[in-house]
Amino acid sequence: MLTALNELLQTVDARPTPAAYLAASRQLERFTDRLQPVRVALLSSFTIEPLKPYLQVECARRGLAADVYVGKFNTARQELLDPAGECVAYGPDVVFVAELLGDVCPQLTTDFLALNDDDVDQIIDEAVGNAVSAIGAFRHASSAAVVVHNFAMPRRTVLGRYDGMARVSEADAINRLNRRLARDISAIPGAYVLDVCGAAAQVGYRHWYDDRLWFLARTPLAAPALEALAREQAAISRVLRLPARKCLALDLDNTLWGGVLGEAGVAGIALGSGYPGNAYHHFQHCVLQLHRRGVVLALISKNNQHDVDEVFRAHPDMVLKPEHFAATRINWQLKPDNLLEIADELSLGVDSFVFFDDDTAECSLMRHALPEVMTVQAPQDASRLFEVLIGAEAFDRLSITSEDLRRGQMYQEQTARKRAANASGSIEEFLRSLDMSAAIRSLDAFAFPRVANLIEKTNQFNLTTRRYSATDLHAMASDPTQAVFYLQLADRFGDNGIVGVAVLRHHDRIVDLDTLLLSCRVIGRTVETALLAFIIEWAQERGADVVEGDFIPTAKNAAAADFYARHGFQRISETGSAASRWRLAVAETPVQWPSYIQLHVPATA
Amino acid sequence: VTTVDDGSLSRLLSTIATVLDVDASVLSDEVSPGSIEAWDSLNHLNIAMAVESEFGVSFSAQQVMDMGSIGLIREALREQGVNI
Repeated sequence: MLTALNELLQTVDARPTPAAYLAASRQLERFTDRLQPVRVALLSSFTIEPLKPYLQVECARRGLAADVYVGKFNTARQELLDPAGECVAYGPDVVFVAELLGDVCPQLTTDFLALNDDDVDQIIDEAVGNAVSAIGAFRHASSAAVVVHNFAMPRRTVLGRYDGMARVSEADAINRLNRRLARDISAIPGAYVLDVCGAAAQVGYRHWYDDRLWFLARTPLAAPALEALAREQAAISRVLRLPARKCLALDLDNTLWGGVLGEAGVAGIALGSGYPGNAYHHFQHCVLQLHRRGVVLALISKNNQHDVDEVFRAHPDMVLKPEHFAATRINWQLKPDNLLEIADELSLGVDSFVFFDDDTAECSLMRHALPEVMTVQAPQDASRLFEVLIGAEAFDRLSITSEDLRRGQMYQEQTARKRAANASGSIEEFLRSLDMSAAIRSLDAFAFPRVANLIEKTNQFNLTTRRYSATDLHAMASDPTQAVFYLQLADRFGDNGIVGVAVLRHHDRIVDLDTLLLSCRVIGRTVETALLAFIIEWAQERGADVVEGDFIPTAKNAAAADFYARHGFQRISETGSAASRWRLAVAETPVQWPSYIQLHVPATA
Repeated sequence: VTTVDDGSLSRLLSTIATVLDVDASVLSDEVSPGSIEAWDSLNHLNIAMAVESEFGVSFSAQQVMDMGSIGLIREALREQGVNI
């Protein structure tokens, strides 16, 4: 069935004409049940209907069946502001707000030369302020993600070649507007920016705008722009709807360097100056940048360990070092087996891996054995390595948290912890040796993205697996009967960051444990006991008699199954049903703060 | 149909048929927005873009506006040097 979908998409790729997109979009219905549904609303200040078939095709390419609502002509603002409007009633997952510069800041397009620098600032303030308040209003009515299109450069400016030098220039004004939009929109929970300006630059302005269509029908975009915009929207929808990839498992020969190490020797591989060595060298720099922004790296290569060690030790042009890799398997085993071992070692789901290898047979073996891995074949042409890898869109994110930026390092620290665990005689000895210290705080702006991310993604140690949107989370944190706490853990190997979240509800002398979850990297370190001890104290302070909570079993949360029983809770629901409810009387609780963790009381708490 | 056809006409009709989601056999020079329901203002633009892309030509805004029938689309294509 999905082969048939691929064939359909290939006919579009062979000749990506408007007719091909239209024809393909009509045939997508038969694949709907194999794809993840997504409800997309398009709100705009211009005629955006022509985008719809392109969007549906590009969504299908990314595993999404898009149902698309197109707002009425030029009603974007009304739709956002009206809680009883059609857009809210449609119940979208994602709303794209596409407005034109001429509609949002008419003066910037019609009478630019009459403005001075302060005028431009004022116009930008007002335009961004209006957008922020419209989206803020929409936030109260809907939890859909809102994606605001930024603004493309004009195709030609009145100042012509002087524009790049002018004190007040159109290009500079648009750049300022876009930067301001990025800052203010991304501060709203669940709101993001689509970089139309960047997409248009990639396509080329000559192919982006169609003045004829603009004057005939108020639709400004040429066919290549529709195609590119649909790709951007579909890629963003995928990030919002499908799980993110976290780990890049790389091959070595003809992937990180040219040639076969076992045959050519350390001095004979292509890496460094001159083609193709310079292309592999450049690709290593790109991979290092991915590592720096939080992609976990692993190596899976059929080679002799000794030879590879020698390359890392002696080759002057190796950009990547052993410490950049969280796990390596240099051996002659089957690569899917190696990948499964690495997944286990790093406590990562197999579906969070991208496998990048030049060998056709290895790629097809991986696709066959582990279809949930995203397998991307490295191109023969070394100059295209990064283009192909990044073109797979595997590591796209809509926000990068400080946790992401530290993730690569965290996995190295994790490996050091594992080594320490293996060296310790007993688990108690190991836990004591970690020198853990924890801080627990109420949800604050600093922690918000990471907490939202944990609530959205945590599967293993999660009592209830309740998913809340950023909007829900905001509402819960500001509700006096509810509380959201997070736990941050450090140990002698480094900072683990935010690894625990609890959502509590207080009513009628009961504290209800709505959500309690732990990041999988700290399971088994008594952190859940620390969090529970804190919750019990919090419940006592508020005069509650009991703490109650549900356990809702899923395919993945067995790690949390004995949490209640282990901490002296009594089961109060009938046995037999899948979900269970548990109660603990706070007065006679046996739960104590674990001795392995030092409580670090934050100055601000 | 009086011009010598090198396959251009069938390409045109099949392109328009795809946009309008109808069988190419129902299309003729006389077919216009008034005679076929699917030919609305949105599909008018789609037809113009699809035909441009199929034949590698670029119509003027006036030509797009004047494409009131398939015969007139052929005329616009001839003005662009297409033998149709």
